[in-house]
Amino acid sequence: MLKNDSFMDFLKTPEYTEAPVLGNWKAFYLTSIIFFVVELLLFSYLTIAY
Amino acid sequence: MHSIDFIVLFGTLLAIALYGTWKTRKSHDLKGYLLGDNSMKWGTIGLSVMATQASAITFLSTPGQAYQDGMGFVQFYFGMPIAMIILSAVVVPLYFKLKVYTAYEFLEQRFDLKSRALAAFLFLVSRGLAAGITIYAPAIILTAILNWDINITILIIGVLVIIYTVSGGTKAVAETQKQQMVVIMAGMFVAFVVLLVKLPDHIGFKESLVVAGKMGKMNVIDWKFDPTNRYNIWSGLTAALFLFLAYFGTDQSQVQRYLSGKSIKEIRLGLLFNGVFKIPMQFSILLIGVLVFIFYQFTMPPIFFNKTETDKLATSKYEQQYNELSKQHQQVFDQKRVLLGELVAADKAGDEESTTQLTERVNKLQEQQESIKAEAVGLMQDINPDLDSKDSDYVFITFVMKYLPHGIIGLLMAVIFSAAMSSTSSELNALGSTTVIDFYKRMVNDSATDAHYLFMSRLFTVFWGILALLFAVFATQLDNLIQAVNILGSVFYGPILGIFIVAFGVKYVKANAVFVATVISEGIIVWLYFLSRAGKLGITYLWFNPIGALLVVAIAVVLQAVWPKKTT
Repeated sequence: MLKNDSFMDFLKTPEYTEAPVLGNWKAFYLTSIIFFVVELLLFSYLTIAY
Repeated sequence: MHSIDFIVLFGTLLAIALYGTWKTRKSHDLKGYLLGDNSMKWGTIGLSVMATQASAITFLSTPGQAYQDGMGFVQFYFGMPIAMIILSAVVVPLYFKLKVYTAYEFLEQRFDLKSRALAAFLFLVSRGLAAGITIYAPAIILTAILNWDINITILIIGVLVIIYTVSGGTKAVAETQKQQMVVIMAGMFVAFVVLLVKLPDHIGFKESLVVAGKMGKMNVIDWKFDPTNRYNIWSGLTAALFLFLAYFGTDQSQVQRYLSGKSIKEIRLGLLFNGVFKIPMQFSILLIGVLVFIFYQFTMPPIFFNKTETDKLATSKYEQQYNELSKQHQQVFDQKRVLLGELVAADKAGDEESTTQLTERVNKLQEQQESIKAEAVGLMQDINPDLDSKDSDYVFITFVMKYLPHGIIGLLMAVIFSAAMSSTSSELNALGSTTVIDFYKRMVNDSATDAHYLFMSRLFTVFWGILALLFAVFATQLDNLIQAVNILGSVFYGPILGIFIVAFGVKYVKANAVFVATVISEGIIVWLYFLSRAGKLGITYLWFNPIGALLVVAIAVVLQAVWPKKTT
């Protein structure tokens, strides 16, 4: 367990930074965004068409 | 309800509760009980997170909301995918690697004990009371429709949940939520199909969308920025984003769901699954509401969907006026039905002029129907001054009870009860964990055995369960308390999120500055809330989330700069 200031130092350690924030996950995040954009387009179409 | 409905309803609920209890009978240590032995895979996490958020009111109110105002409510969820990505990227690895049991534990590691205690206390107060409302809100609607004693409905939901949540902890909550989500999805799908079958022959799915569009129900996206309107794309993408960051990132009832994940990868996939599928799920529920609206354009609806109140009116001194209004209501409905048939035919034939004219006439009749209803509500309020003039919560359940076949009614009732149970179980589980980890173990007894903390976790879960039940039972006499709970929900999330934003991102700010900033921001938000309620501030409650969060960040940064040495 980490306390106070040492917590912020923890954010710089490999134990934290090596957990891929983007890296391999870019594709998954991008897929979510693409799904969302498709949903937005579909909803816009429904709003305009009906 | 027919006996077959009771068999389906109670069979489903009991089977799920027994399965959850049996499957998790080996929870014998604290980690297993509170974190599910970190064994959950992404599918379970995703469904569990979705089931926690979807309460019974979601399935009672959302179709009614679409019936009343159209599809626009779906925009509220537009911040969800973005929130899930931010939490997956920033928050999940941190919580997981610090091996915390609760979100608030993390605050002591970053700031100090009082910050942790403040956030945990705010959670216990708001979520503890909200758990009672999670049970009470559907119970009051079901009681009005089913004529059951309200206490029976409350006990059915509450007692089963307490049994399996206390017995199996986090794992039992997740296991039962998987089954409950299957029941919910199946039930809503069946309702959708039955609705399509029940529409008149000349009205298919496409024609339904045409009629709904002409009557203003297909306003899925509203591009106009208006802070007084809760549902437009901008409030969804900004204000609701902050709400979801707060709810999924700092509310223990959600954090506990994904802390039980097997790895960071499983947790991220689970949250992204929620981000991707939540919007289609809400869209489908709203679409069911729109189809119910179309159904009632061709089948005579009641003047007011809360039958208990219309029955009172029909036998009151206003009987004659009510009968007169009913007659007018029927006449307007008949005229509108004929015009709608013509409208569909004109639209099919591509006759734009007739379509426009008929649309105007139909909408005028719809307005007439609304004003007849308003007159009837006025009479009802004369008899019962406390009457809620909004009947949209009763629309879907009235349709289910009156027009669905036996067996399916039982299934749909199981959907509503399952939803109530799934969100209540997460709440009780999180309340028990926070009480033990953030208060009992941290401040009362920090050197007991694992078995003792496990026992205390179960004990506190029972305690919160009984408190929620008592609150639900006595809620009818506690109007002011219910209002207070609603206020708490609206005003706490923003400042709590602010504490976490500072914790994650502003290294420069220390404990005292953030604590004082939170207290000041909370005061400002409560003040804004009352201004808004008095009609002196033109923004909806959703905006209190970003305002509260950003206030904490800004005030904390300024305080830290002014007193750099004193505020450590």
